[in-house]
Amino acid sequence: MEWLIFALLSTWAIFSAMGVLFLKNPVHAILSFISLILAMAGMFLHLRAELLAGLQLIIYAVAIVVFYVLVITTIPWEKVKKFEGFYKREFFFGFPLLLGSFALFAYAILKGSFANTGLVVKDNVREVGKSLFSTYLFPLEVASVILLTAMIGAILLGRKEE
Amino acid sequence: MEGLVVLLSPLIAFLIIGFFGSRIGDMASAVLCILGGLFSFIFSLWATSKAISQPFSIKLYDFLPMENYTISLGLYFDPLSSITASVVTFVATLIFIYSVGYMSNLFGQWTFKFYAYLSLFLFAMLLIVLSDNLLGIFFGWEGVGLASYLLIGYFHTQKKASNASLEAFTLNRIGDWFFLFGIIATFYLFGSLSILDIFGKVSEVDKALLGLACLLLFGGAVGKSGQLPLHTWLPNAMAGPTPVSALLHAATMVAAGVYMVARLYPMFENAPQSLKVVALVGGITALFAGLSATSHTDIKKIIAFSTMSQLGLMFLALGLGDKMSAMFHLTTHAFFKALLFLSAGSIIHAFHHHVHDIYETGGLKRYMPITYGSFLVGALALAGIFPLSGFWSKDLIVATAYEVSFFWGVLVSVVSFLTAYYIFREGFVMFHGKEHFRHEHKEEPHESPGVMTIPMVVLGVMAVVAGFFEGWYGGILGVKKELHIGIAILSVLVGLAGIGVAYLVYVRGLIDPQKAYEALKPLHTTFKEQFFTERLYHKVLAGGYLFYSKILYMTAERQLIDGLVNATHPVVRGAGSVLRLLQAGKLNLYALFMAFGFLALLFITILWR
Amino acid sequence: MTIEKAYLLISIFLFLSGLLGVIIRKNLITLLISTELMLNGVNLALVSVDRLVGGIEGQVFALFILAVAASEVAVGLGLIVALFRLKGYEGSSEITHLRE
Repeated sequence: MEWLIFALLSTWAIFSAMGVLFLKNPVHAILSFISLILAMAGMFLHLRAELLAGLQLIIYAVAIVVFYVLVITTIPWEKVKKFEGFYKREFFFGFPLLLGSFALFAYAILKGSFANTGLVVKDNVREVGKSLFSTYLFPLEVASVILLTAMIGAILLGRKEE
Repeated sequence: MEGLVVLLSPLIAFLIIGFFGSRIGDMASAVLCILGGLFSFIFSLWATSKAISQPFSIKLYDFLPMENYTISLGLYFDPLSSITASVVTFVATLIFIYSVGYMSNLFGQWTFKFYAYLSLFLFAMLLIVLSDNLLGIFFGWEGVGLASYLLIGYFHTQKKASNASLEAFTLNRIGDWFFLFGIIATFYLFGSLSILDIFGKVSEVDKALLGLACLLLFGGAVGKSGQLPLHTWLPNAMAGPTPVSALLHAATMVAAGVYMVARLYPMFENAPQSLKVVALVGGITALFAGLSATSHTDIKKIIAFSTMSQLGLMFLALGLGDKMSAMFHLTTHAFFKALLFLSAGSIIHAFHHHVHDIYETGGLKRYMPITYGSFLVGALALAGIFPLSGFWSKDLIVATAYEVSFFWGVLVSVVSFLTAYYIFREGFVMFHGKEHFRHEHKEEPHESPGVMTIPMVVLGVMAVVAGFFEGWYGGILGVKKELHIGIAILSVLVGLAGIGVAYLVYVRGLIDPQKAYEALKPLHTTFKEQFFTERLYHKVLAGGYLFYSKILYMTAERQLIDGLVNATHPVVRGAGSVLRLLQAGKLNLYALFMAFGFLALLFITILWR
Repeated sequence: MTIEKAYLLISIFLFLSGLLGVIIRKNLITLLISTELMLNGVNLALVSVDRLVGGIEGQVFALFILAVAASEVAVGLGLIVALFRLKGYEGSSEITHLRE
């Protein structure tokens, strides 16, 4: 049963990723990305990271993707269409490279063994929320400052020149 | 502390003249220079009176502290050094006074530089004489080399003078190189540079290494004293002003070599093999220079060769184990050689610095009586005629030579004969003989001014009476030598014979000198060319070096180095045209390179275990 | 071969395909999406390692990555818009100012 879910989700994710990579139209690529995010949320659920799965859906599928679509609508479509496709030469150089990297990673993962503490976290959402507001309070505040800074930056960059 | 004044007063004069010479003027510079020499002379007399009874040393400061030995600069006054210092400062002061008259026509043309150099020269020589360690001597040694370079090339607008100064510097550098290595060897042997330390330990060290060290040190003396084979600079140095020649030959430069060997004599004494080399070099140089002097016609060059010859005799005496007579001859020689040079300078001055050949003068006896008198005294002293100073000192050397072996005795006698001959040849041609200058110079030559003649007269008196101090001098140095009546008579007769030959040839005209030269042309040329040594050095060594440099210039410089330099341009350009493909400014390409680096890092972290 | 390791492999695949997208895509917007792909891959890796080891720290970091991704998208898209306004293009290959 576990493996069946895994097979389903991973196939879905892989095809979505291929779509992000190779679909010519940017809007299609973004749609493919949404599909990937849904697959990812499923994976997180399968891995029992329920909080993360929910946040994934809220932040990525709603906030970020909507942002992309908004930006695409502000840019004239002809301009967007003008730069479709991908570089062939870079692909031929890059693909074997990344294939090699994947092989190395796979070797490391399959051969390596992970420290098994035997701990099983029961109430995932509660635990994560607790540690987020106790142990990782300061990084959380820093993250909020980063978000604020990014917001100000985006406004400054995106506003119209007088 | 009064001993310090001896050393420092010329230095102070040098510094004041060097820094403020253009403000205070040439005459004031000259006076300062003379005062520096005079103070130095007075205090060295005082130091001598003190040092004779009890040698003393003055420590100046620690120069180079090391782990187990500290090189300190200091002065050491013993009879040898203090008497030499007195003689040096005395003669130098008189020459300084003389130079005021000699250089008077150049006043107003930055002549203060000349006096600054003179003061520096005297200071450096005093440093050699008085220093209590070898490093101090080396400083003085180099200072003398520098000052001589500056002074020989003082008329630097003349090609001849600048070449001569360069030659002097180069040949001295070869000698200095030996000297430096000698100092290093000495330090290696004794672990100390102090003269007193060395004298204390001299019998304990390895004889073979000591001999090597002595030979290296003697190499320095050869360069400085113009002995074979580093001799060619000495006659060429005559391109400098005459007071410089006098200073160079009488008191400062060339005396340094002889003095240094005498100063370090305990070292040489303990390495008898090195003394043989010293004697051999001295003897050969004495004969060589004497022969060369007989064929030259330049007023000053004859005297210069004479200096070489006399220095050779001194080295011979040192080599034969007679330090006292060598040093005594150095002292008397300083007087009469300075006198001869000043007389020669007086003649050159009379002809407004245009005449340098003895055959362009002649019959000067009537016009320049004081110069004639002083030249005569100097020549007689040089020839070793009783009772002038040269007789006493040279007689000691002759006696020593005959004591050691008949061969050296005959050699010294031959040299004495040659000496008497060539110096009187010069004297007779210049002061008697026909007045060759008539068709060149309309006006008659005149006697030099008092500022020039008074030093000459003083030196003349010293050249006459200095010989009587022989017993005193020997007593102070702790050597007692008997005068051999037979040898004394022999050497006087030899000297008189030389004078007689010169008289017969050049005054009586018994043989026509020109015809004799024609008849003996190969011999004459050989002598005049200094047995072709100078030509050998100039053509083969210097010329060969130049040729070699030219070849290197054409091949290594033009082809190899220039080629390499020029090749960098296309190489860099080619590399740039290849590398600029990488710097395309495309984000994707940069991302690809990042991925490449990423793979490399992965490879290292995962597989490299 | 546990299920967590399999998910780890998938995460590596996602990350590398994101990298490939950065390398080969011409359009700046799809290029940014590819970076999101990479970030997602890292998130998945963190969560699956979390499961392997047994803890919650990976999930916390994944949360921070989400925050950083959001701000990155905001700034990145702002830049793209500004670039478009200034120069009128958005192809990554056109941006070769560094060369001149």
